[in-house]
Amino acid sequence: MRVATTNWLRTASVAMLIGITAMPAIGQPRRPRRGEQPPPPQQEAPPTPPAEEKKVEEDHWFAVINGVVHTVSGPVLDGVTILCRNGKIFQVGKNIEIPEDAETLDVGGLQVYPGLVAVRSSGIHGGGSPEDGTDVYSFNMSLALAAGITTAVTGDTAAKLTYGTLDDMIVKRNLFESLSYSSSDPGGKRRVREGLDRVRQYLRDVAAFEEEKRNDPEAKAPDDKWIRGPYASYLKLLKHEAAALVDANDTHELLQYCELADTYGIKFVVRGAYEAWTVAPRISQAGMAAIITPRQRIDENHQFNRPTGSTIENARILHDHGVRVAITPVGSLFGPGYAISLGGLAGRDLLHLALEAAFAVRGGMSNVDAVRTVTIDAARILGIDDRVGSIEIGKDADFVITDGDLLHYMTLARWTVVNGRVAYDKEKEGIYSHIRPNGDASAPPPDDYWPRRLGVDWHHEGSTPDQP
Amino acid sequence: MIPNVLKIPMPRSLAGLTLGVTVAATCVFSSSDAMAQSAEEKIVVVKAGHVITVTGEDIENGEIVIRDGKIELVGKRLEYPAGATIIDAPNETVMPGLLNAFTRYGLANYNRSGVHGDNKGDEGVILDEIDFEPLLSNGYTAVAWCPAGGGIPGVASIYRTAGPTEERLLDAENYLLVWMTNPSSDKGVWRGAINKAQTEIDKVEKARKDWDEKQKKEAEEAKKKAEQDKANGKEGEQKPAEPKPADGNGEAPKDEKPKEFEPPKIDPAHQPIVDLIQKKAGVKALIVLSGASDYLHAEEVLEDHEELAHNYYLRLGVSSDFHYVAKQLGEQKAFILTHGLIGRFPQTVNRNNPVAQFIEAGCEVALTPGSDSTFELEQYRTRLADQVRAGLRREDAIRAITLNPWKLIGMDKQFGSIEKGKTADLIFLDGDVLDLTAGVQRMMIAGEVVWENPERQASR
Amino acid sequence: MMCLSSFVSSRRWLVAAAVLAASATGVLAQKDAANSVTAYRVGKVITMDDRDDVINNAVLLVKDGKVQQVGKASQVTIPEGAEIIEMPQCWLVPGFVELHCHEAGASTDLHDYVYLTNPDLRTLESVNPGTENFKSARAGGVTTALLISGSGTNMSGLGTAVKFADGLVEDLVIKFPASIKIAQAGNPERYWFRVGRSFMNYNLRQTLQEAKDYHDAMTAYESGKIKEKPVFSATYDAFRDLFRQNFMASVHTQQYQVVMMTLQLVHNQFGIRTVLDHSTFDGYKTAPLVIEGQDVITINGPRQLYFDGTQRKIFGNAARWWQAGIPKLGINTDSPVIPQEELTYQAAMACYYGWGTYEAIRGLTRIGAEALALEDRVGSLKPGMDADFAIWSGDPIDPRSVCWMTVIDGKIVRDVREEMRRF
Repeated sequence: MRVATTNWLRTASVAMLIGITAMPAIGQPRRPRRGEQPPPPQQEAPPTPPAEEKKVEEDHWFAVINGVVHTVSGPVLDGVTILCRNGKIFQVGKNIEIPEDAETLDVGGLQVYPGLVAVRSSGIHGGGSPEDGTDVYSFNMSLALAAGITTAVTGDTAAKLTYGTLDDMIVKRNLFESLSYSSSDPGGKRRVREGLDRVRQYLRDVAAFEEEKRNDPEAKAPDDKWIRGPYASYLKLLKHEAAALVDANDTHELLQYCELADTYGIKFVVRGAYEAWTVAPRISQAGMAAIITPRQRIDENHQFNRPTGSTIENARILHDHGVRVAITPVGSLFGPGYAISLGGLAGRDLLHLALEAAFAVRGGMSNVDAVRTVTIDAARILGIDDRVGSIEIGKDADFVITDGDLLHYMTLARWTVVNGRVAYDKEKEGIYSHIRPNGDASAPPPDDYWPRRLGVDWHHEGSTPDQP
Repeated sequence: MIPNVLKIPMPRSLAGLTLGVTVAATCVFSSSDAMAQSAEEKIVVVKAGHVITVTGEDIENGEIVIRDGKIELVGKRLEYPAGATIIDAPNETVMPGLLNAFTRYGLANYNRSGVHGDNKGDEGVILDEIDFEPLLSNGYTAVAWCPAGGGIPGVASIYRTAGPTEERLLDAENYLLVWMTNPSSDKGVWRGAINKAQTEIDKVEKARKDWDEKQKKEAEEAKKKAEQDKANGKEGEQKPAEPKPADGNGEAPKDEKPKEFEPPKIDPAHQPIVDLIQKKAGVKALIVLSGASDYLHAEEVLEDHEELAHNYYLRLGVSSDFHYVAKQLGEQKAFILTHGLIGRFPQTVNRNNPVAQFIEAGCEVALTPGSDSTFELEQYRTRLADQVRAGLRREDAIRAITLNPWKLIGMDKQFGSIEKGKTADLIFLDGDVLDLTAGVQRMMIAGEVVWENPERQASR
Repeated sequence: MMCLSSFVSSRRWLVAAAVLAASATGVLAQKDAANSVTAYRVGKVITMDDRDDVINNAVLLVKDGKVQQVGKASQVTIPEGAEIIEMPQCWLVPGFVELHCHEAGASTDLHDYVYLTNPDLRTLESVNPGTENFKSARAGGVTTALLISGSGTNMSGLGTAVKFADGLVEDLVIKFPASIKIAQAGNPERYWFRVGRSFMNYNLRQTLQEAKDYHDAMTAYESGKIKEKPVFSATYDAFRDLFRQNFMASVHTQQYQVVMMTLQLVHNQFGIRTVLDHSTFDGYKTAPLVIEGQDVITINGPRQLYFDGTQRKIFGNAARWWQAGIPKLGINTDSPVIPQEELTYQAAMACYYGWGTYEAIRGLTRIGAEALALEDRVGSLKPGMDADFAIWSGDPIDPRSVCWMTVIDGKIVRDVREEMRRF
């Protein structure tokens, strides 16, 4: 729809421009919009193109060439071209013909990964519905893009980091149902079980009704007016239309959710799960997925006669047992790990999401699997793997193009692409452009600003930062 | 100070102010037929050292002939009737009076949200209670009072800052204010308002359609009946006894006079938005933005609807990021109201000159002071001079404070420049407008001097 | 523990099977063989000696808790009967030295807000071995730490250099006093009557002056210049070693103005060996003054990035110090602000924002040892040095690398074959 509008605009603004030469200067900003007729041609003006003339929709082509492409879902492809049309990956391979009007990004041997998926975030998108509340020029968004993140969960919505545009921001809403089954609230637990029982009975009644209807056309459908609020949520869970996102950390709590999963067949995504390694087979059996922080450190609890506490191997152990794992960073004194902080305690927030995955490698996970925890596996847990998380034909053209191995501690993003548009360019954005420019580790630092320095004109040349 | 001029003190009572006007009551040139002064007419001639006309060239030692408060002639060595009032200002610069296009000057602010299109900016205004001195002493001959509150708080009201009370109100219902500084809620309000207004329009259209259909049906039935009567001849006599088709309210139709269509009432809070959608002349929205992203949000709402006439008010701060959308605003040839200031690019100490940037991009810019404080009103010209020093073209700067604010409210045909036919709202400065040592000496509204710098008064 | 061992068993070992058998008896066997030689055959040794030798395919011999020899495998003869630990893919790196640690002791008395300057408080009594914190330090390859008190007052006491070894406090403490903790600006401003910088400076200067006067009087008496012995001061007696340059002042300092103040007051005015702890924000702008100070050591962390709001850039603090030409630059965690095991991750952050790997490892080892004036014992691997090192699966700065084994004084204090790997 948007594309159509844009083209229409182009046509109309041509008409506008021609028209305006003969028109007296007008104060009102006039811009043709969808459905509006172009201004009537003036007598002196050459005839404008007729409004009915509809142009063929122009495709927006975007190509990333000469990269080492880590598809994540498949092999690593060296020196291939990724051709994208209208924000989607159109073709991947060698000897691809690139349309003439394509925007081409020659990445000259750099590494191309799918854009990273932050399974939890704060401070990137705006509150409420992201498409209405987001500042798409915010510094935080640039920082998150510099960290390679192209999709982030805000509240209960997965949204793209569409820098400079509001188009195509939302990936999926209502990602999870919430459910609280905490041992600190036994009454609440009972209510959850009773509610689930009631909805399950309703589903059985519905099945019975369907059966009965064949013989008795006047059979009465079970009452469903009460299915509101938590019951509606339970219905979705029991019908496997959604998963429940729950916070569970220690073994005890994890096992309770396992039990719930077994009894009712509910899909759970557990967040935290630092003791999940102690019951990994059970978690796997219960079909749970986990959002964890590999280096979260909780000391052993010697009151228990069982393994307790955290381990760096958590991610690896869960993965080995077939549990799908996504990773979210550890927090600091300055804020939670899923935020963006310039407080200074570097490496403990979303700016270093990839390095948090590196800690999973320290715990024994393979490099490839660790990359998956912040790309395709994260996307699968969120149920958006049809759109993002890997470089495959038909998926969204979201890439992070780095100057090295994604998990290495000296790797920086050179470009980040969202929906087939360059949303972050290290050189232009400037935040990190002085760090290893073109891989040069010995590059001198930029001049400092000293308030007392004389001779610096306040509107001197070069005072305008590059506009993306 | 002014030699060879007979000074006649003329104390006048004007809007509670006692003013002295220097008048040279000598006849300089002979009268001509064209410039004959009738008994009721009042002709004033301003002779100024420098005239900034805005729309034309500046004039050294220019003259402005004013007839009944309207500018009649602008130029040099003009002819005017004997008996015209001469205002001699050989050392002063005369320029058009300014409009403060966005203000709550003298009015209380309060929080309110939602859609209140029926609310006017002058709600609660008691003219006599407001001290207009700071406005007058800084060159403002008019203000656009905005309604208070967020969301869509209402429409602005335009008033003069001095003059006879009955002539102060210029326009009670001007631009519709729309806030978009907090898109996560403001977008919903704006969208909701447009949808509601559309519903109101549909409601009226449907009622009209129903009414038309009913009229048509009734007409057909009447015709049918008439034919039947004609065909049946005698039977027609019995017909009057038959009850008329009930129209719902049981009202017995008397004479068959076609009634006027009475449209259902439109929600007054949404009336201005209805007018916007129906492209009623002169109705325009002023959308307030606080950052580049707000612009995209505002555009997104407008994209989904028919074009609604609108201008933008960019609330520039010291480190605003509007430069991100300057190009888009320029391509759209947007008309922008904003504060003029030298700012910084966000997160840097690099200065920028946003107004110059907007103009370069292709926008038209009107300027307004950053707030209603006396300090801000006084800083206004300082800021402007800063911007000119940093590269804003002088013509653009002057146009941005004089003509363009009037253009924003659609009154640039009457105000905002010194040219024939416009109202004689003038500022007298003892130097150039961008010379910060110069100050406003006199203010003229509709040909009458309504304010004079007290120091100047004292020195005379 | 059944389920635990089942997970652990899937780990692939880089250690030769023969060695596994040999170490089955574990740490006990080593105690008996205290005099025998242990040979570590590894892929790479970063010696951190003065020539910055990095030896590939190296062997390191340990005898009596000291490094006996280190060199190329082809050039070192492993004595008969020596225990051989073979990790041919791994890096052997000197044990890291943490210069700003609050975790090796009971952290409850970290901030004793007694007076605004407390020259006579000591961390020695609060050393608390055998805690989980010790384990986590070893997991990060950290072997030596300077245990210091908090920054709640301008002078919060004498620091203690400890090793993260097992045993009694006497076995662990390698130097006391190892530092005097001074804190400038920021944190001490929270002292109960909310002091400002001028008063804090005055107070600190006063305290140091009193200590200096005492030291000068004692020195004059000892050299016979004055006859009458000055009254003994328990408060300032320990400071005599400070003015003799035997230990340093570790100064909590950050921002340009505060670092400059530290240099002028502590270093220039009193001639004290100075270590600039944290040195963050725009503190790097003082670099020319630090270089002028010759022996000043700069330790960076835990803040590793500085957002410069004048030019919309993020700087690595360490990188900026380094680029300014600071020769002696280290890294600290301020544990528990950053957990002790993440000392290397602090270095990784320093590198991410523009520093270099080798410099970072040097900053974690030799520079720390120099700051403590213990460079003849720890911080590098030369014959005669303490056998404090860790064996890593690769580059220790890389968060992906695993610290397989940590050795302190020749004893294996962490061995992931023996214990659950927490970090």
